Amino acid sequence: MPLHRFGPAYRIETPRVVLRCWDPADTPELRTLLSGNLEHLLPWVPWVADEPKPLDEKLREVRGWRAGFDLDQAWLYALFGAEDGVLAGGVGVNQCGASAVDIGGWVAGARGHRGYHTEAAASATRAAFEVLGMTRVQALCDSENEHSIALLRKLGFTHEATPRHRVDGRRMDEMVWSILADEWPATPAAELAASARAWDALGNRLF
Amino acid sequence: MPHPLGPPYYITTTRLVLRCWEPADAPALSALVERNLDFVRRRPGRQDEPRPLEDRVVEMRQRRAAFDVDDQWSYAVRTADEGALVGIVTLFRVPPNRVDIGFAGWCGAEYAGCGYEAEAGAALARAAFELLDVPRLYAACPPDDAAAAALFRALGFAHDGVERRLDDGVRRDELLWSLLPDEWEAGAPAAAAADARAFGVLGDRLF
Repeated sequence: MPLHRFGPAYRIETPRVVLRCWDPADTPELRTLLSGNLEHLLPWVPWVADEPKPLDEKLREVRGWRAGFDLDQAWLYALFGAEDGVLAGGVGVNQCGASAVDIGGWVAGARGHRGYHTEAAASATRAAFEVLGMTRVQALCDSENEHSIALLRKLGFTHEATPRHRVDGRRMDEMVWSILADEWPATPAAELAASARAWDALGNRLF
Repeated sequence: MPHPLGPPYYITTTRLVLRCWEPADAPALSALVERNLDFVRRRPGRQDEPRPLEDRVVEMRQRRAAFDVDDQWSYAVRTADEGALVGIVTLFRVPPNRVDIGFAGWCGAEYAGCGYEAEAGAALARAAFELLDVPRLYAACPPDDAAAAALFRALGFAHDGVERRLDDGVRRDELLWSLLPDEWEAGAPAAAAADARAFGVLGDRLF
C-alpha cells in the first residue's frame, strides 16, 4: 500500500514526458498508436501479438487498468510527449511481492529515440521508491534486447540473473535487473529523475 | 453489460449532471456528508462517518474502480448551473444472484423539496432499463425512512413487503420495493426522464 496519505502518483511530469493513470477515453488513441506500430513493438512486447483488439474489448481492458490503479493492484500509466501531449506509449508498475514492483514500458516506434524511455523509467522508479515506499524495483528484459539492456545499465540497475526460458522451441532468456531502496539515492536514475514532478489523485504535489 | 461501449459515465437532466465519481470529488463529498451527518450515519455501512479525507479518497477510488469493472455504478449528482454537489445515486448488483440491480440515492437536507432525488433517480432508472437491460430494479429502506419511501413511490416502485432482520439482537427490518420494465415504460417518471441525455466514457451519446 502507498505510503502517502492520498495514494499513489496519478500524474508524473518530466521535461520530455507526462505519465498519468490511463483514462478509458484514451482507448481510441491507444488503438491507433498500437495499430501503427505493431511491427516495431512485436519483437519485444509480447502482448502486442493480440493487437489491434476491437474497440469494445480494448475499452473494457483500459477500464480495468484504471480500476486496478484505483485499487492499488497495478499502476499502469499512459505516456505522452510533454511538448505535444500526444500519446506515445505506456509504463506499467506491477506488484511482485510485498514491497517490490516490476516496471516495464513501451514507446511507439517514431518516438523511441527522444529520451522518453529514460525519463519515463527513471521517474516511475522514483515514484515506486518515494511514493509507494517499495524496497525493490525490478525490470525484466529479453537478453537480446540491446536497447533495454543499455537503458537499464545507464539508469544504474544491477543485473542479477538471466533465467533461461524456451518459448515455442526458441530460447528466450529473460534478464532480471533491480535497484534496492538503499542504492536508489546514488543511482544515475535518481539524478535523472531529480527534476520530475508528481501529483496524487487530489492534485497534491508528491515530489 | 449489454451496451458494447459500457455504461453511461455521464448523464444530464434538466437541472442536474450525474457523473461517475472521481477521486478529486472526495473533499466535496466529505463536506456534503458533514452537513448531513445524522442522516448519513443511519445509512447502512456509514456508522463511521465522518471519515477522514484519506479514507474518503480510498472510497472514491473504489467507487470509480467498481464502475470501471461494471460491479456498481455510483454517480455524483451536481447542479448543472453551479456544479454544486447535491447527492449520490447508485445502481448496484444485488446478492445473491447479482442479476437484479438495486437503486439507492440521497440528496443533502439543504436541497429537500427541490425534487433532485426524483429527477436524478428517473434518469438513472431510464439508464438501467434502456442501457443496462435490467430485468427488475430493486430498492430497500428502513421502515421509518419516509423520504426514501416517497422517492421510490415517486419513481413508480411498488412496495413488495417487509424483510425482517435481526442484527445483534436489534430488529433492522427493511421495506422492499421493485420496479419492472413495463411498469417503468408506462409510468409518468419515464416521461419526465425523456429529455435526459446519457453519454459513454468515450463521449458517445447513448440516449
